[in-house]
Amino acid sequence: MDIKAVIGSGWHEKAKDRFRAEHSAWSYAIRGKTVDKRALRVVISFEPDEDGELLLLVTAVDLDA
Amino acid sequence: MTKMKRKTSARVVYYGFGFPVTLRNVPMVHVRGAWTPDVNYEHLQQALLRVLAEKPARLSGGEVRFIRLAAAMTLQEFAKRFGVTHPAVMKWERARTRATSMGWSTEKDIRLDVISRLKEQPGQFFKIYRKLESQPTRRAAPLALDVTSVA
Repeated sequence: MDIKAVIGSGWHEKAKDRFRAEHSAWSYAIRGKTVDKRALRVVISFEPDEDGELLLLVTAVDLDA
Repeated sequence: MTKMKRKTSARVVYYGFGFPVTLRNVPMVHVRGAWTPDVNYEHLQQALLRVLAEKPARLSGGEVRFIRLAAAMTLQEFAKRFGVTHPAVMKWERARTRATSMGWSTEKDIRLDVISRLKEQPGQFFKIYRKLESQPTRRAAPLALDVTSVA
């Protein structure tokens, strides 16, 4: 739910985008605030499955921890 | 494109919502070297809220926090909605896996608010209201959810 709040209202932190050579995929960083106003960075990446559908992979980093 | 490995796990204890939930019959997918649940978390959240509204034991602190965040309410907003102070809500949430100290009438109000947000049929709302007339036990009861019932 914190992740949903950040994805919905955060901003694209381009400086933290990375190309992951081991997975041949980009990861994108979104930074924002949770409902309780904690700073959170959400890193998202996509993995195509055998049907061509994209699985959304999400990692969250609590920047106030 | 390589074919992904998939399996169904009979039982997974998931902590991602802030309290333990036992998920049964969970579709799993092997991605980037790890097995992960292949579920729609939005649907899972809705199903869990429905289970919490009817839970046959008092709500724990973690469950109250989950309900508050699912409604996207701050501590202050949640406190105002239920006629308490925000330190009271903080105290409830600090109970974590234990039942909170809130009165049953407040908890019942919270549960009915959950149902109203899920936009259940009026008949269903009434059925749950009647069910909540008897106060559940304060003993901790872990939640379980069969994922096959989650669309």
